Amino acid sequence: MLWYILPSLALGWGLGANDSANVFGPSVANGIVPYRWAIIIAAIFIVIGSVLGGAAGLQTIGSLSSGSLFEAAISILGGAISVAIMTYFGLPVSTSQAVVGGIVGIGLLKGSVNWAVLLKIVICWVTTPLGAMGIGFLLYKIVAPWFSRIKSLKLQDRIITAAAWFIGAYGAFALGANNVANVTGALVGKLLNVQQAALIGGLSIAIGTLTFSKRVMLTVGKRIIELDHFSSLISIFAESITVWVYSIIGVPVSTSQAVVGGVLGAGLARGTSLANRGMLYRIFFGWIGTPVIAGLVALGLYLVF
Amino acid sequence: MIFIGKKEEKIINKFKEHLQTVGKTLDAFEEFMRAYLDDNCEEADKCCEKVMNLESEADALRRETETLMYSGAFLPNFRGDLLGLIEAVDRIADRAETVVRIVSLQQPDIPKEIREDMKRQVKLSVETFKELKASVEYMFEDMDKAGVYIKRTEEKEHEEDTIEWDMMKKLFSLDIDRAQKLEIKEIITLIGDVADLAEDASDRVEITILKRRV
Repeated sequence: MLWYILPSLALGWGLGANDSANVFGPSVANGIVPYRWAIIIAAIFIVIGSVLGGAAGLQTIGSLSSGSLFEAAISILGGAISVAIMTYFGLPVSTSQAVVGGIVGIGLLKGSVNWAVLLKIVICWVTTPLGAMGIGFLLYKIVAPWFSRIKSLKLQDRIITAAAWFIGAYGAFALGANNVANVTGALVGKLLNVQQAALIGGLSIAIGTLTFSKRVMLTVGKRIIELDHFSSLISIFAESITVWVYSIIGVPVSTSQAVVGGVLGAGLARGTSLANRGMLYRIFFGWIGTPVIAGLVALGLYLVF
Repeated sequence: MIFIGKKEEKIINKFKEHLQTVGKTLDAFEEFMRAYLDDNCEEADKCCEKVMNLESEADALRRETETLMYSGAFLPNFRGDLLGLIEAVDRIADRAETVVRIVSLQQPDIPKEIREDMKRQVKLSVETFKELKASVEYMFEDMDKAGVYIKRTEEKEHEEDTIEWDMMKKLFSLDIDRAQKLEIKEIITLIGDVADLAEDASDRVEITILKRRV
């Protein structure tokens, strides 16, 4: 039985190592929050998020395919391997899209795909960056006038610091609640119940964050802090709210795409267009390329085993 | 003000202490120039020593503040701004000291025709610094008010520039030795630098504030 959980643990570890950068990256890269504290807070809130808010997403992914436990484990393995290969080649990759691709890849062969659920998931993928963009725009418009009324430089600094901790913790909570379904969702109803899946998935993401997130955090962080402190925090807050909303709806989405949306929204509100062709290409590739590759890898694995 | 940390307070206090000391250096610099231009050598010597002592005091304070700054107060990118600013402010005291040293060493013969103008030029340079000082002090508490003083620094510097140019014209129209003209020209330029450097520092204050606009 343990063998069936192993791919999930590996995937969770990779997810934690990669995606915690989307919540604490900028704050760590520009030195507002020390790395060590960032990963501790992130790990704690990821587990809390998974356990308290992960149920809906876990059920969605659990119901995406009616296949066997073996098929579920191979799907996750396919997703995990795809993420590893694509990361190695520097391709944009989202765990959410890879796992769904893996499940659907094998599901197509077996005719066990629940198309209604898949449609709901894909709609959510497309609306993730758009939603985050809208939220980022609105948040900026609402909070900026208030923030610019603070005349004291000291007070501004303090507020930015406090907000970095709060938004980071909230983002980690949302990350856990939303993305835990990628890790153990496929095993729900086959090997694990929802509570077990939430706890095991959450812990594996937390361990990934604690052990291997530094490099990604610094690279992603530096990319986002091209913006000023205020705008980068607004972007992350927008990403966190978006991802959290989708965790309530019950669909795991890409935090990386959400953060891109947040950055674009905040930028737009500031009056600068930060969108470029590369960014759009990466998002489209996430919707189509990632699930196709993961589906093929999972299918290949299934046929080999 | 529960949001304000102790480290920040400590740094701000040190920063202000440094500003005060640079201010005192400039006051002594003005006293020195007045005494020298009034041919009061004894008083000038006293002021010369005062300027040097105050300048090294300012240097020591700058180093202390810089060390404190890297203990983790304020946001990291702001630390860089502050560091640049304190260096810029310190350069003003350095330049005042240079003027005092050169005048003490060379004992230039300053023509009567431009002595009063020179006193005014020195006064304006010191006043330019005072506007800068106010802008730095307000920067921490009230960025809008700091902006007002940045503008005033620019105005004072412009005033100083005008008088500096007039003095140059007057100097070169005098019937004196060319070497003497060049010697005095250097002093006029150096006094002008005090105002210029104060304006440079105020530009840094301005950029720091602009960076925070959302």
